[in-house]
This record gives sequence, C-alpha cells and structure tokens, in this order.
Amino acid sequence: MVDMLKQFKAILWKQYRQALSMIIGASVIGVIIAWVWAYKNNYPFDAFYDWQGILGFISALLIILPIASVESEKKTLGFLAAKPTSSNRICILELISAYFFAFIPLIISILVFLFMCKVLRTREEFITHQYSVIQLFQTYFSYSASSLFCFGLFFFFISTCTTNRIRSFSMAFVCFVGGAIFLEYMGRATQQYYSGWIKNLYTLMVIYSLNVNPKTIITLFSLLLLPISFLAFRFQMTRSFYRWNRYALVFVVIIIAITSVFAITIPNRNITFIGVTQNSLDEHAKPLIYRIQGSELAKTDHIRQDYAVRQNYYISVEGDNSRGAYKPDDQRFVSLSIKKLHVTNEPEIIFDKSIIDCFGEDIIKKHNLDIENSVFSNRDDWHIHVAGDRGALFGRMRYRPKGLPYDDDGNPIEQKAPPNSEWLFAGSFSLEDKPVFTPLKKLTLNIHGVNGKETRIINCVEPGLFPYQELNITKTILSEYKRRNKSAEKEVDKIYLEDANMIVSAFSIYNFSNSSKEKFLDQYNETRLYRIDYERDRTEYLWPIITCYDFSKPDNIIMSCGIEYKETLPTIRLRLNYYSPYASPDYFAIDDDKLYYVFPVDDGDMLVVSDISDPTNIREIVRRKIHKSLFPNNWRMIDHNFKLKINNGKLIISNILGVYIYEIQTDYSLKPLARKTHLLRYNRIEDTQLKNDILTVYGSENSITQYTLDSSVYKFEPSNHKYFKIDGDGRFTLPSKSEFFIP
Amino acid sequence: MNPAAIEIKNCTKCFRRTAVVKDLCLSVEPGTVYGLAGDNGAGKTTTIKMMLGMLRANSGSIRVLGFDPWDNGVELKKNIGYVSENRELYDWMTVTEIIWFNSQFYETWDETLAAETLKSMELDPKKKIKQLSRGMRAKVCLMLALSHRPDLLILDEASSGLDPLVRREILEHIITLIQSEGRTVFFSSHQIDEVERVSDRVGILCEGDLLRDESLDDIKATSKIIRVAWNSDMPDHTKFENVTCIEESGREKAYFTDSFSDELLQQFKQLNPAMIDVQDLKLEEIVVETIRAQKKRRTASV
Repeated sequence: MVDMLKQFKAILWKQYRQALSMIIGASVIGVIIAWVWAYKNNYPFDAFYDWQGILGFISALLIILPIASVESEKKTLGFLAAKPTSSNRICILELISAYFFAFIPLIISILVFLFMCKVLRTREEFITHQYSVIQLFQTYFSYSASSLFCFGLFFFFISTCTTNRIRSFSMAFVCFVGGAIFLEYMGRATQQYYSGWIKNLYTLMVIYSLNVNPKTIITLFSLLLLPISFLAFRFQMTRSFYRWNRYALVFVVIIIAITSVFAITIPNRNITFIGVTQNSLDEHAKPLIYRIQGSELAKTDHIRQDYAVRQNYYISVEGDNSRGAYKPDDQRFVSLSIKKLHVTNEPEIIFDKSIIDCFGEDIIKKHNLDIENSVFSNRDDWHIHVAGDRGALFGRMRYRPKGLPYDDDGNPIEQKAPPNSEWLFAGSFSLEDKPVFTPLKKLTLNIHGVNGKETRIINCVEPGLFPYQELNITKTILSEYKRRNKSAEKEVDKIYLEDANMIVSAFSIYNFSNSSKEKFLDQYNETRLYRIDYERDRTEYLWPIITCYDFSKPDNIIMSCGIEYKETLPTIRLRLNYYSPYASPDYFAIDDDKLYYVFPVDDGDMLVVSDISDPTNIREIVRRKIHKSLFPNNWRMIDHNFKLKINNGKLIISNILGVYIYEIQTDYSLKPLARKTHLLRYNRIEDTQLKNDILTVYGSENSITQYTLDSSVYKFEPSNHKYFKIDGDGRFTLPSKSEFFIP
Repeated sequence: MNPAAIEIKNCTKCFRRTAVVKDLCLSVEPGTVYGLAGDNGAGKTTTIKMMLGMLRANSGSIRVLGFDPWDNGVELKKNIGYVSENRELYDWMTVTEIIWFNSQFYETWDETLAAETLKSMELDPKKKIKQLSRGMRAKVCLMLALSHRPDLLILDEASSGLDPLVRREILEHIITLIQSEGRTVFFSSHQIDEVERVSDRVGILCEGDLLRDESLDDIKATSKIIRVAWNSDMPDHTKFENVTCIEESGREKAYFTDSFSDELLQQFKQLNPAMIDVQDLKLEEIVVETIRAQKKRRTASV
C-alpha cells in the first residue's frame, strides 16, 4: 500500500508537471465561458449546462490526451514498464491522476459561474427563485464530469493506439470529423432515401444525441471505452492482453460504480426537470392510445368544448342551416337541442324544444313579432355559452323588412330599423338529466376600462325578451366618459372617447353579433365563462378584451367586458392568428377566480396571475418569468401550437414539444411535475386534460391518448372500437361487448 | 548449490508465425557477467524482455533470480536494474527530478549511492534530460539502474551509438560497481570487444538459436582458424564435423572451427598438408565466424 501511495505521488507529480500549462489553458477557457454566461443576460442560462459538457471535452483533449500520449511515445515507452509495478497499476494511477487534473478547469468554471451569478447578482432570479446553488453545481458538474470521463477514455484509448501526441490529436480529429459527417450527411441521406433498420438506426442516433438525455450515451460509451482503453494501454506496455490482476478488477468495478453514479445524477438536458424523477411521464408511463375514428365526439369545436366541460353533453341550436339572405318561404323553426353522449352509438336527446316554445308563443303575439324573421329559422342567429352546469342562449332578431330592395349585386340594402323592431332573446338552461330552460328577466352589463367602469341593468319587457336598443349602451358609456374625463386638452379627450368606443363595440360584437372570433375557445370555471380577445387601438396596439358571463343566477346573467392596461399585458408581442380555431386565447387559463396569462418576453415567457373574482376589476397578483431554459434546446414555451390549461391546480402547457405539467405553488411559482415529449408524430395536440393523475391528450385526427402520472402502466389491447368509456377516475375503459360497435 | 540467477529452459517466442527465439536454453550463475552477442534480429532484446516479464514465452520456462518473470514480474523487477537500448527518459525532467521520480518505485533505493554515482559520472543534477548528450543520457540510465543495488543488471545494447570513451567509462562503472559486490550482469551488445572485456560467459545468438553458451576462455580455446596448404589436389574437408571453409586462395584454405581439439589438428595433419597453421581469434572474429558458419550451414541445408 505504501508502495502504491509513493508511486501514485510520483505519477501525480509527473502528470502535474506535464499538464500544468494545459490545466491553466483549460481553466482560462472555463473561466471565460463562465464569465460570458454569467454576465450576458441574453445568453441562455441553461446553455451553460451544454457548455460545461463541451468544457469536459476540451479538458479531456487538452489534459488527458497529452498525458496519455506521453506514455505511448517512443522516448518514454517502457520507462514505467521496467519499474517494479504492474502495467495495470500504472494504467490506473495514470488515469486517476489525469482525471484529477482534468477536473480542475471544470470545477473552477462552475464555481466562477455560480459565484458571479450569486454574489454579483447576475441571473439572480434562477438561483434565488428556481434552483439552489448546490443543486446547480451538482447539475453542471455531473454533466461536465461525465462528458470529461467519456471523452477522456476515448482520448486515452486513441493515445494508446499511436506513438506520439500529434498522431493522437490527428486521429481524434479524424474520428470526430468522420462521426460528424456520418451523422450530418450520410445519416440524413440514409434517413431520407432508405428505409429499414438503417433509417431506424439513424433516427435512434439523432434522438439520443440531440433530443434526449445525454446520460445514456455517456454511460454506454464510458462503459464500452473503459475496458477497451485499458486493454489497449496494457497491450502497449507489455504487448499482451493477458495479464489481469486484482487491481484491474477493482479499478473496473470502481469506474463502473462511478459511471453509474454519474449516470444517475446527470439530470436531463433540461435543467428545469431537476428532481423530476417521480411521476415523470417520460420515465414511467406508457401511452394508452385509443383512436375514435369517425366518432361524432370530436367532430366540431363546440362538441369538443362541451365535452371538455361536461364530458358528455352536446348542445346546439338545430334547424335550418341557411346563411346569408332572408328566405321568406322557409317556415321551419329552429330548436334548442341538448344531447347526452353515451358509449352507445347514438347520443340520447334529453332536451329538444322549438325556440318559440322555449320563450313562449305569447310574447310573439303580444309584441307582434314577425314570425318569418330569420331568428326563428336560422340557427346562425343564436349563440350558446356554457360554463359548468349552466349555459345561456342568445338570439338577435334583426330588422328585416319584407320586400327588401336589393342592389345590383343582389345584396340587400340596409335600412334603418324602426323603433321596437329589433329584439334580443335571452334564456338560460341547466345541464342535468332533465334540463330546465329559463327565460331571463334581467341582464346586468358591466363595462370597465382604463378610465373607470359603468354598470347597467336591463330589465326584460317579457321574460326572455329585451329591446335591442336598450342594449346599445354606447351612447351612455360615451357620455359618461366624456363627463368624467373632462380634459382641457382636446386630444386627450378624443383618446378617451376612442378607447370607450372600442370597448363598447367589442362588447357588442362579442355578445350579439356573428363574428369569426366566435371560434375562439372559451375559458370557464364552474359558474363563469370567460372569453378573451383583442382589439387594435388607434396606435395599432392590441388590447386584450376580457368578457365574463356569470351564470350563477338562472334569470339574471351578468356580463362584464373590459380592457386591461397595455403595460400589464403587452399584447403587441402576441402572434395572433385569427384564422386558427385554437388561437391566442389559449395563452389564457382560468382556475376558479384566477386568470393565468402568458406572453413572450426577451429570454422566455412571462406568466401573469390576476385575480378575477370581480370581473369588472381584474387585478394582477403576481408575475413570474418562465425562462426558455424550461424547454429543451431553449424552445420557447409559446409556439404556434401552444396551449395553456389549468386543471386541479396544475398548469398544463402543451406545445410542439409535448405536454409539460407544473404544479402551481402557493407563491405562484411553478414546480415541474411531469412532461410527456415525443408524442405521436404529426399528431398535433388540440386539447389536454388532467384528472386523477391521468393526462388525456386530444390530438388531431381524432386521436385521444392517455398517460398516467404514477408509475403504473395500463395495458390496453389494441382495437378499432369506435367509442370509449371513461370511468369515474377519468381512465379509458373498454365498453362491454354489448355496448360498443365493432366495425 | 546456489540456484542460477537466470535459468531459461526450452524457451520459444513467436511473433505471429515467425519464431524469434527458438528452444532457448540458457543458464547464468550468480555473480557472473554474461554477454549475449548476436547480429540484428537475433532475438537478444526479445530474450531480455521475456526475462523482464514484458513478453511471455510461447513455450518453455524462465526463472530469473528464482522468480517467474511473467507471474512475479513486480517482485522480480525490484531486484533488477535495466537499461534499454532506447534509453527511455522523460525529456522535460531534470536529472535530480528523474532520480527522485525513479526512487519512488524502489524500496531499496540508495540515495548515497545515487549521489556518488552522479558525482563520479560528472552529471549536472540541474540539467534537463533533453539538454544531455547521448552519452550523458546513457550514464543517467545506468545510474538509475544501479542505485537501488539490484542483484541483476540487465543491459540491452546500453552502449550502442556511444563514442568509445563513454563506452569505456560505462564499462568501468559496471566492472567496479557490480563485480566488487559480486552481482550478476546480463548484457547484450553489438560491441563484442565490450563483451570480451568484461564477460565471464558468452552466448552467441543467431536467428533465435543460441549457437554458443560457454565461458569466454572456453569459447576462445575452441574457436580457431586452421590454415592449410597443399602441394597437390586439395582433399575434401567436409568429412570434418564443425569445420567450415571460410577462405580459399589457390592451394591454400582457411577453416573455421568452433570445436578445436588436438584430435582435429591430428586429422588435418594426416592429410599431409604442405603447411598447417592454427590461429587464435578475438571474440569478435569468433562471433562473426560462428554466425557466418551457421548461416552457411542453413543455406546449404535449404
């Protein structure tokens, strides 16, 4: 033992002398990397993680390769072999001491980075709010050390195959260039033009090298390189592979143990997921894939929405499907239909009543309403809003005089409506086994904006019937604004008026007009439905307009509408897509009385949490920056498939990378809980739901996939069943044979 | 009876299909200076590497200082000083540093001896190895090989490429330091005069075959050149065993024999030569003629 310590001391000293300049060089590179990453706030925080991996490579190249090469060179080859020590022992001591020095630049670099971040208060938010210093050190070090270990063994092996360090460098260079060319060109070409196992092989390589945790590659390479490099060293020293002794055995066992420890401790490439070892969908769960091809369930947005609310209700106004011009001959009345969906083929109709029956024929006669008006025959004049167990139905009766003159192109010429010729039908309904329809007696309108709020209560003339002119509150609001904000400056006065006008017109459009914006998904809780949209002001800024329907009283629906400050929600950065069925409102999520909103900022996304318990006074509670390092390869959370959703206190973010689930803490910070990446290819996520630790992903092409957050795996026999059943826990279950239809 | 310092029995070493050492049998008594001579590629270095446990013999057995070099290489090397032909040293170390570095591998390292040797060899301890001349490097190697007082010193072409002065100096060190303490020296060299100067026993290796393994005196006594001249036609000499005609000039011939004896001389005399003369040979000539004769015999047999 004393012998070995003395020998270790000698070899350590020798290698220190040999590698001193290289240690300094690598340390300087490490410090520069740390300095740049700590100070340059526009450099991604987590890219330092990748740079540490590269520094591990540099360290191996600059320190281990020359150290190992020296023993292979003719000038020194055999010096140690002739000493009273075994080649195995020399190999072990050489490797240990080489790694000892190669670790120095890594440790220096990480310490400098963390010191600068912590003490000099750069990138403070990460260290104080998200990660502890120890956690980050462990993260960076384990990855860089693994990289060093892997490449160190590779260079050690290369060095034992050559007789001088220049050749070693050349050989290493050729290997890397060759590998890169293979991956970049050959592999890509193979993937494009060939099929079979070659294509799969390349795909695997790319997946494992680029997208997934690198620990698998590092571990595998290290375990492969270790015995090879060891044998190569022995062969070079003694021209023999045979001599094997206990030192080598112990060494190999130790290295395998160290490698395994590293492999375990290397976190995912995405440092956000430190500690997410439990409940990680990627680690444990196997998807349960069940397609509902051709099913009615996912046919339209409304259905999908209703499904999401109640899971099995389909509410619609049915009847004539005509659009556009009034057709006087059409006498068919539309009806409100509520269907309950079952696992059986056909949905069960639980409510189906003509609109006229819903509101009563009396009001038509009493107010001499035109029975031929399109509101009674055209379902497009009706709007349904649903939240929780209740919903509301609105229908606008427009003035459409008979014998309307047409212009040269055949379009009807608008004429001013005479008094009491335009009406609003409004009613509410419950969602239960026997739905109840209630005509509204009151409508409460709240308008709120930058300069205050206005409330107006409109009483019905008959239950369910409101004069439309009463609803046109623009004039009132404008005059109120004018009165309250009397300004000496005419220009400011004009601005106020414009803002007020914008809100009011938006309010009207959302509630009572046909608009392409209706396609936007709504957000809801048990009693309220929120709709969020944007209006452009005179400066082309986008202003978020938030509308809230409160269904808590069956005969009085409270509607609130307003704008938020630009400073609060810098919507100018939003990439709106009005033509997508799932566009910008997906940036919002509602959870009870909290509104969550995400918008992009410089180096990530900003999550804003607002209190919406009073819909006329939306108050910001907190905002948290979600750095783009949350996602692999610095992918921004908001991409063109981004969706935000909250289920049971868990924030679900779905985008092109997959589904990410965070637990919302009491201080509104996000704790990573699970993620599911590598979803089905070409299958866009359209909706997600988390219930009882089961994640249900609604994809395009009518596919539904379930994942479990715990480690249990549900085995599902593949089938082509058209329908599925969801049990009390939210899991898919196969219906019994009598219940489903096998095509 | 002391066991032999080196005992090699029927040892064969092949690299792929080429046998480099063939059925080698060799024994070196303790306290002996053994010189192994041979041409290039004869198998000298391979033999030494097998003795050091750096190579494993394909067959046969080797014991050095009572140890099997392959199985007990570490123990064996504690008692061996080895200087290789390449004089492998770390260029960037100073003489002092390499002495310290080397000393860490030996329990029996004698610092006093190292210092004395350093002084007697007139080596500058502050100089880096790369600044030393070839001769100086050789001296450093020898000093490193001697300073742990090894029982056996193995020199593999240690003096090749050195000028005569340094060679002589090194030889003197070997003689004074080793012989005075009765240690064993095994060395291979192209410089046969060196071998002749210090060896007690000499082995001649040719293409893996050990042709001679005798004491220096015996080799010299049995290796002669016999010059014979005839008046008439020359008789056929091939009936004599171990006699090779090495020169022919008119009616005069020169024969080399490695087993000279009075009987052989009598046999020549019975052929009634006009003149017969027996010449003594230097070791170098003996080695050259032995190897040449061997190659001649091999060519003839092929």
